[in-house]
Amino acid sequence: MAALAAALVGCAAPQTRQILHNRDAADLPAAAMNSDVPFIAQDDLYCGPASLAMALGATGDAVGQQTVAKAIYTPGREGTLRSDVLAGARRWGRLAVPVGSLSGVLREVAAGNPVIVFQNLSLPIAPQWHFAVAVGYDLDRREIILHSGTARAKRTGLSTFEHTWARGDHWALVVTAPDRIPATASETEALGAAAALERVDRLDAARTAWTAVVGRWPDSFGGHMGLGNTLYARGNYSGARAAFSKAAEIRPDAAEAWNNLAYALSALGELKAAVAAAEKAVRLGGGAPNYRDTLEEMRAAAKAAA
Amino acid sequence: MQIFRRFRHLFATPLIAALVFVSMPLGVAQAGLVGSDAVVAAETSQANRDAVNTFMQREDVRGQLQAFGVDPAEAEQRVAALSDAEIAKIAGQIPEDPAGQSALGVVVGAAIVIFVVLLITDILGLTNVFSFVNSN
Repeated sequence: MAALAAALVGCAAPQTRQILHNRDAADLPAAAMNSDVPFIAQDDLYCGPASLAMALGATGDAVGQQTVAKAIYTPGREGTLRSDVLAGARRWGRLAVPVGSLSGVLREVAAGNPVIVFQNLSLPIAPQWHFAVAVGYDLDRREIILHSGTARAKRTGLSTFEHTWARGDHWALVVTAPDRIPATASETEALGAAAALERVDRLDAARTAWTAVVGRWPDSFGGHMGLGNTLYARGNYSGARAAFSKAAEIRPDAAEAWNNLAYALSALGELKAAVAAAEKAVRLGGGAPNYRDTLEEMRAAAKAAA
Repeated sequence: MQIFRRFRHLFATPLIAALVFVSMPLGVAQAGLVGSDAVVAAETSQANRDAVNTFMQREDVRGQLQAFGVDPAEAEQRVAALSDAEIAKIAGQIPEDPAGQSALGVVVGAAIVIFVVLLITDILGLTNVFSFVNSN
């Protein structure tokens, strides 16, 4: 029986084999199932929009696949671009981080997060591209569970899944609410995901995300800078001052921190302190012109108020 | 090179993500503040460089460079001069521990070490193994 099991695992796709052979090292629960990921049967050609709609429904307010399709579907290609799925998730105020390994996908599922996966269900020469959502798995049964097309909680062999996923260049995207950092995200990836929310003008979601980043990585320079920027943009200048001060404490020689702190101080009416901070930025800033501009601005404001 | 193609796909996604991010224009600063995009771009670039430098300190990597006739110290110097985009390309291929720790603690397969070393030497122009690396 053990020999048969070994033989079966031997035919497995490489990452599947790695995980099943080294269950202890993989450090995954034996099984997981996220029943709170809603199932949305896809409309024709809308596997991308339906998948994103399911991920959105699991992580915040529900959005219908027709609405999602208007934002992300490319009619000329009768499909959805992966980059548009990523952008769409962010435009709806979610954290979205690519996941590159099968163990990463399973780890996110075990953490309760929906993962949108991209597969080629057919041959390389005649691809049939498809988006689905990973909602569960069972290592003992060697299965992954997907909401896929019109099939709710469809069980697929892990190895088979990996083969179809590999043909799609191992694209997967974990989607979370902005107050929740994906389980497999590095600090750098989390910074990128939070900054993206600012970029698409979801400032409340961005503030929530930056708060989550510094909660997870208390010494994150980028996290405190991002938090400061979103608080400043919302007019919360004392919050911004605290965040930029913390960033400057983490990296005393970072000109950006002192520069941004100057703006927060100035907005709070602490004009002398703002000038001092701006001077520090210039000293540390290696000649970058924007720091000089900041200093001019701060000096002018202090002079006008004097 | 079939074996390399197979491993390349393992890390294509983080590579693509890293490349897309590094090539984005810096965020527009509001009223002179340094924007979050700019801060994160700098953080990402530094994290990538740290990952590549850590990788190049590994015994097996230095051994592999020597096996290919490349002086590890020389390679280190040249890698230090690479652009953010080139560093991102290399860093994207170095397997990352899910907890985000450096690659030193991670057991890295010999084939992956060879692949990344060859990628580095290709970018440095010392070898010409991969067609996807533009040679000057």
